[in-house]
Amino acid sequence: MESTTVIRDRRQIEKAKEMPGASDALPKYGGHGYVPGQQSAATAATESSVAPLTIDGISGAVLDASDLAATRAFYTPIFGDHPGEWKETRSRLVFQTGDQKIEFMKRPRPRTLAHAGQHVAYRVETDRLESLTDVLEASGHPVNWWREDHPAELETTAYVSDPSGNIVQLVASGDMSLLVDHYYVPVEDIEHGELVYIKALRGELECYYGYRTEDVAAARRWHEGKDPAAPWTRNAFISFRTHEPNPTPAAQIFARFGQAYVGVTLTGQRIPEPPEEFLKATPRAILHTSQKPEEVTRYMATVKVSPVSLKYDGGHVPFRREGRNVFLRDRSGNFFQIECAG
Amino acid sequence: MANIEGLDHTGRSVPDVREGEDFYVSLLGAKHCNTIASATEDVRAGRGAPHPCNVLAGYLFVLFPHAKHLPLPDALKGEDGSRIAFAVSRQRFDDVVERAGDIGLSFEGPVTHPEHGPFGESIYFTDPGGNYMEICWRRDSDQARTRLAWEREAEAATA
Repeated sequence: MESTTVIRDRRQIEKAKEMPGASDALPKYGGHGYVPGQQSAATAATESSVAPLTIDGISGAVLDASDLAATRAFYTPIFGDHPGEWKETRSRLVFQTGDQKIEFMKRPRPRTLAHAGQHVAYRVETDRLESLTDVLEASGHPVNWWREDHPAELETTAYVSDPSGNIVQLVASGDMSLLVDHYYVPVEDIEHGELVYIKALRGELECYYGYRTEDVAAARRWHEGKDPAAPWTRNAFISFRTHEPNPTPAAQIFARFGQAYVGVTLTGQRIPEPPEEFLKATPRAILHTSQKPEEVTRYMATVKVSPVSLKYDGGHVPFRREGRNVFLRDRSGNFFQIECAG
Repeated sequence: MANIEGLDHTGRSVPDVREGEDFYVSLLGAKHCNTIASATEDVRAGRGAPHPCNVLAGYLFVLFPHAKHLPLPDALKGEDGSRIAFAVSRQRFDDVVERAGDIGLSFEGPVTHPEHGPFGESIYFTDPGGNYMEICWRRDSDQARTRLAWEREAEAATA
């Protein structure tokens, strides 16, 4: 491939000297390492030779917990259909089952994003769901029966909050090969979210919701109290034009990674974000790849997800490698960890 | 008098705005501008479901999901003549017809217009929302009343 000479003016050259060089270990810039004047040629040369990312599935989640003992007591019956092992330290609680694990980090003020609908869905045996919800109710955890919009979630199922406020969805299933059925995140820009989860992370766009006539009609039924849709899947903010509530479906996409999927919803709630240099934070989903970490970082350094050509933002997804894991976040502050088995 | 300065945009409704946009992009070469109500601030302003804005030869149109289910027309050409027509060059018209066939679009035509008239040939079809559309080539393309022609006239008048 021919080398490309990039012409920059003096101001851009001076600006580039102030910014760090390409690196995945710079906390301030989160590892995207965009350097004006160097990106175009380097990116062009590497993009064509970089192996694309392949995520095999969701291998777990890391959540905050204010009280590890209460958390273990809460989740033990929920995880009861999955043979596994609990490990606990003073600051950390982990449940490992098969190829998936759920990790709880002790935090005095857990970050949950429950107000925007962030949640993890766990599979339970179909004939145990009702008795499990009875147990949860009896132990002081109110259960809501809602439905969502993925084709597999159209029937109502149980939702409950754990002792730290994390939303838990219980999915009745006859297939106990997975503990985590899906992971659901709110975003503040659904177009950018789609670029991250479909283009950058290369999830398969399984389906979408909120873009059709029937979705608008369903939102109206929800507003009239005729549809038990989960609260984060609909909204009825006052229209700036009519000054009346405008029942609207939340725009959503569903990105499949192996046997599990990530649901992404455009939220009407504001999401408080940790500082931009935080790439390893919670809550976060753990994704699994058979690739080597250096393959993943090489790929992440070249992928661009900006919908338009921006002058000073290469549209990279910030990431950082730590050993065999790559930590990243989307622009709405949802965190992910890619566990590299290669 | 309103002293209209130009066509600002058109709103078209379709059953599925993503499929609708894909239709305009893949067949007509529309370019995506942005999507209204794809961000939290728009949601909080009650702006409704996402509606993509696309540009086609300087013409901006917005796609909305139908507010309620509407039956799609059986005809490909509006009986009352209502439609939006886009012009392509004579050279490209055959490519467009072939492209329409490749994507499985049902259309009427090509219809050959009288030689003494301004139009050469046309195909008639509907978009996914049942909105009537036409693609044609013009025999008088050098004199066509395009936006560019209007701008030239306005410049000449003020010169």
